[in-house]
Amino acid sequence: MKDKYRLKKWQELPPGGVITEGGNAADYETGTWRTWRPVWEEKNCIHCLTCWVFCPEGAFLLRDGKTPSGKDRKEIRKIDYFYCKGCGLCVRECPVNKKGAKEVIQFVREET
Amino acid sequence: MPKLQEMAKKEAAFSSGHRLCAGCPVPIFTKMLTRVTDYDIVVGSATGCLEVASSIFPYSAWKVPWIHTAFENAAAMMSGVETLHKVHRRKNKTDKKIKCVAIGGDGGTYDIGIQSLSAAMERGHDLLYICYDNGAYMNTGIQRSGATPLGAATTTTPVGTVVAGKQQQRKDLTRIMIAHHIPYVAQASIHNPVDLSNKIKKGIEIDGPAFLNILSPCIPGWRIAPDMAVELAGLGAETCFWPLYEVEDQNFKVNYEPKKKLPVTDWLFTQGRFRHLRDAKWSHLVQDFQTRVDQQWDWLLGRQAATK
Repeated sequence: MKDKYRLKKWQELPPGGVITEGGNAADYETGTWRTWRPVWEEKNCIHCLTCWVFCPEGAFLLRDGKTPSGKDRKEIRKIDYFYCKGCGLCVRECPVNKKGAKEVIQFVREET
Repeated sequence: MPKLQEMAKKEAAFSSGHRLCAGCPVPIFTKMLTRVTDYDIVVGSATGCLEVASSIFPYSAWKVPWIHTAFENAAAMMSGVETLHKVHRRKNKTDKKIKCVAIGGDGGTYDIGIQSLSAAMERGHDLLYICYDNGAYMNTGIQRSGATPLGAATTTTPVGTVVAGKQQQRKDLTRIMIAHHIPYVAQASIHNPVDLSNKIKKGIEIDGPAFLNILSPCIPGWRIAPDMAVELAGLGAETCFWPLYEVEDQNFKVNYEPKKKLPVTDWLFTQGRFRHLRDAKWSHLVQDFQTRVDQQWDWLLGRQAATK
């Protein structure tokens, strides 16, 4: 872990400072920014993907699933805390949370 | 929503691990770019938050070919890319069809980049220009821009006892682009992903120049909580400060008409940058703001009725 975040020496960099791999920001951990943590529970989730489309970090991971009537669909699998910055957009925009009776995503203080 | 299910099957153009602020809604539309269309795309970014935060060396968040350029020439550069591709196709070096997307913030579009944007649109390049409007130069520390609304506090238009924030009205770039008579101009907002993805798809796939203006709240610049971005964008549409509409070959279509138009104060007073306007001393500014919003909305409805 420590080795990964050390600054590279100039001899180790590609000539011209070219980034050789697209999308390699995925190696960078932004989860350390978090002070509040969204906790997703499957029990009340309707899998509408609202949190997935609004999450700026792409921290909601999906899996293949089926609707109650048997059609193929994508479902929420879990929150990737490696990337989640804890902004709380998912907690606020979740339509089940908005109705107020049940809670799918809880927002809890990060333990230090 | 079946549309989201379709989008979920494809890979995003923008990876996780970028360093935009927590709660910044800009990645909501950058992730959509490849999800909405089957074309291969090339993206060019003008200087701005998105460009800076997505490409901090030695990392890049872009999974599509991406070029960075200066503030003033994102549109000029992408017209060059588009022309090169056209030449390659004519000389049979490739038979693939790629589409070009240029992305700029409001500083790089409303103020600095407007001449290259205007020229690219006038020349008719097959190009989609996306402007994400957060209402100031947020990347360099919240300086006023042509898109900053009346009365907003920024670091260059501070609030005092004599002056309350910006003294001028914002310019309406979408209307300037409509006046270019290009095939597609639209105004979208990040709170409505279905509408937004439809507009991005149309803008990319249409043959000819297209322009899309997206309202994208800024967490530190608007002085709001990190989870408020989507809600404030929604309020922008509800108060008609930011009407969602599209203009295809000069045919106006309003995509969202609020059932009950909210007063503009609902949108203003949820933001820290307008909090001084609560003072009765500045009520004439709020009134000016409301008048401008009403005028724009009436103009839009009139145009829609006229071109039906």
